[in-house]
Amino acid sequence: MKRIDINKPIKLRHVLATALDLSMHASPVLFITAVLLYTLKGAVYGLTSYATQSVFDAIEAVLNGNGALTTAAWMMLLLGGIYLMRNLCDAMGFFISSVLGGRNNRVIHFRKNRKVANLNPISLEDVHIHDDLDKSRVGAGTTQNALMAVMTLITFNVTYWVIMSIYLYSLKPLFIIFILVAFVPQYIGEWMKVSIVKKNEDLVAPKRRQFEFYEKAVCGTEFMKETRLLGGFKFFFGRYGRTLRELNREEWKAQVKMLIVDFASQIFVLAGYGTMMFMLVDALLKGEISVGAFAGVFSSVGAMFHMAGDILWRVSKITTFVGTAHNYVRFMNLPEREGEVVQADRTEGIVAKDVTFYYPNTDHPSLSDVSLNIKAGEKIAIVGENGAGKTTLARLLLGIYLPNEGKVTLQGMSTATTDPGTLYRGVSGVFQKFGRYPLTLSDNIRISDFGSEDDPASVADRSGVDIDSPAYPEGLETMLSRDFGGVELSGGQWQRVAIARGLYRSHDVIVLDEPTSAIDPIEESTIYRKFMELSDGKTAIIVTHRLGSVKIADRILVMDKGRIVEEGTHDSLMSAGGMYHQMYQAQKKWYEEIE
Amino acid sequence: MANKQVLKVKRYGYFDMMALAFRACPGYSLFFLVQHLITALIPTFNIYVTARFVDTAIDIVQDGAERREIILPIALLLLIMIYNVLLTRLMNMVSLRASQKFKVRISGEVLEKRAKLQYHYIENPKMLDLINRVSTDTSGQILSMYLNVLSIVEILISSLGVIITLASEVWYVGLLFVLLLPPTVAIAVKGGRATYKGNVEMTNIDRRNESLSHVMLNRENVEERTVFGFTDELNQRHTEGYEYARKFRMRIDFKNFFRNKLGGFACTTLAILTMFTLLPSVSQKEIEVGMFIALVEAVLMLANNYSGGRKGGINGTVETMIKKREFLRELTTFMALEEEPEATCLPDHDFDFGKIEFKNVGFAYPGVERTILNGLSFTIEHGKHYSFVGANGAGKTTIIKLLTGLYSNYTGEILVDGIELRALSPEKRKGLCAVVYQDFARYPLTMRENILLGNIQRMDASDTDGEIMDVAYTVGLEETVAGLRHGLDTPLGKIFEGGADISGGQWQRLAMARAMINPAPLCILDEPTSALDPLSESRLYEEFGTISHGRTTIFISHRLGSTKLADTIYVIDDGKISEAGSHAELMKLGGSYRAMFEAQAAWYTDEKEVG
Repeated sequence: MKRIDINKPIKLRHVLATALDLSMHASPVLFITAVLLYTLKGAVYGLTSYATQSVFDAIEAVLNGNGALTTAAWMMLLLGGIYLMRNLCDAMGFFISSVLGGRNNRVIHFRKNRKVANLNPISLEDVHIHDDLDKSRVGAGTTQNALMAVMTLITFNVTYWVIMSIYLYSLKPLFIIFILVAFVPQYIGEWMKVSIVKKNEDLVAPKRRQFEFYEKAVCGTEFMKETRLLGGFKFFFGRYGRTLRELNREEWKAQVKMLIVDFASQIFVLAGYGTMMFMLVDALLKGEISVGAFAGVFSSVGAMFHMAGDILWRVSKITTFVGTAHNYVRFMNLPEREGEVVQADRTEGIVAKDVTFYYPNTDHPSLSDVSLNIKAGEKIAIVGENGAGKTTLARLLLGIYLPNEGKVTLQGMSTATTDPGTLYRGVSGVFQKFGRYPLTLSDNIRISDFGSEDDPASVADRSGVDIDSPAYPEGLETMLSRDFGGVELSGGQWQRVAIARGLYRSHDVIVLDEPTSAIDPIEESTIYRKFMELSDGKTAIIVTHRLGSVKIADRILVMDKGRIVEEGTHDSLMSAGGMYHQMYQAQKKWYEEIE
Repeated sequence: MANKQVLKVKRYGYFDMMALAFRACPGYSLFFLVQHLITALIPTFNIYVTARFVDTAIDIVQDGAERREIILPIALLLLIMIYNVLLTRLMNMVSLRASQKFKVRISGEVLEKRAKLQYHYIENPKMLDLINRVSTDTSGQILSMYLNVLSIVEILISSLGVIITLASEVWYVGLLFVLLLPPTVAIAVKGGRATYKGNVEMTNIDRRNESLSHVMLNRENVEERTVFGFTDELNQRHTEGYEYARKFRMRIDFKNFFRNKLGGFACTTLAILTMFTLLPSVSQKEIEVGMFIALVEAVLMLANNYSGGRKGGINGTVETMIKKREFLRELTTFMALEEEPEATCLPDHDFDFGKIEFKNVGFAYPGVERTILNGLSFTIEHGKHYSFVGANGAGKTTIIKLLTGLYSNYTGEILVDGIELRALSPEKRKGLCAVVYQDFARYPLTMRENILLGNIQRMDASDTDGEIMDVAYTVGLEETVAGLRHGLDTPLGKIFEGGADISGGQWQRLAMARAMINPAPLCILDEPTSALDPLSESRLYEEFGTISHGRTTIFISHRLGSTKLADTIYVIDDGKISEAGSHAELMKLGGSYRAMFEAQAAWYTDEKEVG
């Protein structure tokens, strides 16, 4: 499928193209069946008036003595058949749409999950893209709804009106023109209402955000305990009530405007209805139409007005659908990360050359002009203050983020031009934000390499995960989530699982990013030592702000404001007396014995 | 919001679908009832008007009746149309007013209930989900439940009206429709129950899938997801789970649907048969053509009422009603959740203490077997500095939760100057501690409000500028304040217009300022350092010493360096105090504190090899 330009506003046709592609992929037969069925439904609805007329004409003939009762009966059977068909079409249409929706949803989930995996990871740092992803849940549904609404409009509504127009035209051309004219004001009204809603929404949206915040301030998990302790309830509750009343007022004002528009346009419809009745009677009296036709049209006038309104309703629905679908459509059309499959050179380490990196929508580079050469098998520590760019650099070295300027080469492969699967084949890590997955212990370890046949028990053992302890009642098959009937692990236990996970994946290069925030001091020492042992012969990068722990590294990089400001072994950095020295002293001070 | 409570602690049942609405807004509820009753009579009225209109028209053509006789029927038809079209619009306005009124009445009550909930519910994810479900648009759910019941009533009455009219022409057709009514309702009830049961059965699979989706979509795990490439495998599991649940539901839907539609076909067939039975009467001129047309229309509408059609017909509305039972069930649970008495009161800031004692305190989180505190005993004396250290999960943070009254189901005693903490007035309990939480709140309010929340009684006072600038200066925020567009009155964060973004470090300082302006006699700093770099960490400890100026302080930490500032260190292990004393005493003691301290200090000794 041709990719949509996501920098331009998303239009209905983009939404339809996305949805159609999905439907035709997920359930082509059902979709085409739905198209045919809705067309049939339109035809059956349209034919109802003909059939009604035939029945009454036949009865009229019987009453006038020039027709047989059996003809009337046959006609009635025909009408009955049409009503049964209507029932059948309604039923089938409803059922097919719901099955179609269910099947499409599966593919929507599947594609969205895959999309997130294939994106450039940096995209998720972009607030706009993240916003799109958040809202795509609703958007995915409305994208499909938009397609179904347009499909119904084209098949059902159009077929109905074509048949009705022919019928009315054959009776009296004025009828059809008249119905169209009666509805013009309503269409104008609908259009005015859309702009009222939009204007109101712009006005109300900030208020609504505040209203939601006051609610959260009282009982959102991030605020609750503090608000409660501080006695903030009355303060927030007062503002909550006030904002709600303001919101209500704004909404009411907008609704009154809409009501006036609505009323005005409905008066035209009513006038139309009244005139139609007069015209009908008039035509009957003048003998232009038969009593049967009179009855047929009369009994379908209500339905016709309803059907004209139905188009309107559907069109306005489509507008709202497109309004919420755009997040999803834009998200699904984001460019994915691609690259060529090349051969890794395992004797090569990692080389960064003049790397500069910006997070999306920021003016200041997070890394500037970083150059670095890590030999295969070398142990590197990256230290620095918060926000110095340590984790960012580690992500670039692994090829998770790509440099805006400069180049990173991982085992001889340029991270920017290599296929991600190939790039990460020999790479692993224990990350700061490791996942606490609601899966079994075994899956929680194997998740780093589902393709591997290795037994997770051995890495578990090496990483200090004691699968025989009571903490894991079902050993490797223990579910690590209380929500799903399993156990809850402590921060330290999770940390060890994360290490086992990192080690389970076969690797030449491994990153250990600030692993110690969740564990106690003794545990911390053990982990560093263990990690060094286990990564013997591998290229290892440790990111931390606990300086004491990195002395064992072959080389220490000190980062400040996105640059490498010092580089060397612990001893050389200490004697240089720079930033490292200063930070080291600050930390060490707490551990010096006063006595 | 002053009148009597709408939501009470009780078992909510079907009856409450109406009772709740009447309690919330009796006027509007009555109005809706009357409106639905009138609407229910329209179809019957419509039959007569239609018959009259057609018959008059035919009379004029065939029997030369006066032309102006047509005017009244047309006017009546228009009247019905006006009711249907214009009045419906007006009704919408009334509905809007009603829904606003409902919201004002109910959402405040729900919020207050949530604010008062015992804290353990909030820490239980399943319960939190339920609370969120119930409190999302509660008033809207209550109103729509009521309107749905009214729709059922309306459909039943309007059907009955049509049936009676029909029966007056051909009695047995009326009877047949009456006989069809109970099975239609029964089918609808059965279908609703089956769907409901199916949903309950699939809840677990849905939740598992939901959690798998989260793993594949969230922003936190981006590194692991990228490097480990686990999406394909999880996506496949997700699809399998999804398909299982979908097919399961589809089977139920299909059965329901089949039954419903069978009923629908029966009704339509019956409607057609009715036409046939009427045919001879028409040809005998026993029934006028107009009446015949009107009856045919009415009979088809009746079939529609029975299945599908407007508002979902009998089966649709009854099914909705049964599904809403789930909401009532959850509402019952929600209302029955226990409250913390006076959770919404203001702190008493004239409160001070001499000594706090924990005596043999034991505690387990509700629903968890493991006890987190096992006979914990210690003393906090006025004016001293304390440090609690110990491994994660040893119970440090739990102590704060008990002290601040978030949990009160502990065993043993916590005595404040000899009075049990639970016996203190809630105002005093709140006035006891100022806490800088590890995950302190970042209120998107103005800088001023953010700080003054620490002393809420002074929120609306006009002479707070000096006080605020004092604490801002002490915590090092004065430059930040000067840099803000409207100084102290600049909103922070993204919620309010013109909100300024401040850094994590600045927020941390703001949290400190809030604790500082808080007159509470006991100041607690909860493990602030896990995300801080060494320089900021040292600074924070030193600053905290100065800002606590003479107050009693507690540091909670697993970094040991800071403990030297404390007069007394309590080492917590397995929910008990394992060691207590000053840094020097504990080092001399040579126990677990020393072992931990040395493990950490070892990194900073100047030997080449660490062991």
